[in-house]
Amino acid sequence: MRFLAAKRGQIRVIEAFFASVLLLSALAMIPSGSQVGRSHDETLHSLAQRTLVTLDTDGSLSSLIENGSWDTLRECVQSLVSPAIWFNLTVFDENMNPVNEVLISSGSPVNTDIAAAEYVCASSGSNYRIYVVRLQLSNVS
Amino acid sequence: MTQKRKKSDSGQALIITSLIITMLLLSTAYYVFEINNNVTDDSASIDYEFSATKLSTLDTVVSALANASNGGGTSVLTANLDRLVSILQSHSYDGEIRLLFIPLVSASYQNGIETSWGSNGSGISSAYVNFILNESAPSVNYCSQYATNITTALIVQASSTGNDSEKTVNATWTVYSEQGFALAKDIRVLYQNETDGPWIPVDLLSNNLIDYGNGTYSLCFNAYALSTIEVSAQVHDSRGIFVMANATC
Repeated sequence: MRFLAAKRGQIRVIEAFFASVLLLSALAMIPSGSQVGRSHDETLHSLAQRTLVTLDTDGSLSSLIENGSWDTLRECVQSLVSPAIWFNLTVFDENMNPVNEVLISSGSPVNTDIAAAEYVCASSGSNYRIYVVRLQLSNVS
Repeated sequence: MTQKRKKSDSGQALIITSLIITMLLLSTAYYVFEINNNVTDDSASIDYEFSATKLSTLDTVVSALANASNGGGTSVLTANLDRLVSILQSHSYDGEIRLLFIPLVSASYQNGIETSWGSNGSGISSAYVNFILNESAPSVNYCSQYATNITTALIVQASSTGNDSEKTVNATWTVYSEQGFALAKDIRVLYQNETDGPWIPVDLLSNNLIDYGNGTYSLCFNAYALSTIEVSAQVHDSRGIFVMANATC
């Protein structure tokens, strides 16, 4: 009888331990809202980074900028990002003055969550110039 | 009664202790998971910074070689890289960047640039720079060392047939880049039919220039010469890098 009473206490402790493990692990499994938002922003941010590097892989980005081929540049970005993603590309010179006189964008943003990445683009022509290219991305839906 | 109460109190204390231990364990596991996540994010960002910086430095070296081979000085490479480094450091991506560059200095390279346009049938325009890239993000530090070599080379072969003064010259030349065969953007062929005489341009269209599509070109033209003829091929590759080579036949 005494032995049973002593055992009952231990069982309670074990019960409580398992209950708390279950409860806390369930809580830990639920991703918080900020985490979801952050990972979403990071995906867009890395997509913007990948797009910028892909655009300049063959060194053609600087020639497009120097020739003022803004429509071609828009088409290039359009082919690299999903139609469900809004984009806006801005080209700056070394002093951060905007270079593109026309908007290189897929329209107006419908979402306020905008991720951006920047890329320092050096020209490969004999007349050396440096541009800073900023790509902003946002989900349309 | 007091003993009974003591017994039940010790049970409650155990429960609370076990709860605290569990919470501590779980929060530690969660903290480790979060740190791991941050390291992965920083690694991705470092990868981007490395690719982006490597592309910028490559374009800068190409630009400097195009400039130097078209009459600019060899100091243009250092000047352009200085400009790039200053922009990259003031415009660091997600972390902090430190980029050091060491242009190759050797018997043939001056300030990282070699322009060797000989009369032995071969010509080389080349640039070689070593880079040390240090990047630091909040949870990752990265150091990389890489070399950038940009080369355009030209090999010319010429032979002549015919009698003493009227000769038919066959010239063949091949353009190379550091990656293999390269295409020429524009070509000029000239010949000299007497020592220290004027260079006479050859009309490529009327002499049926043959483009083999793999960086090799050939041409056949008639020339008046009493002794040997010196043929000069001058080429700009698709990147605008100039190279020339002379061959005697």
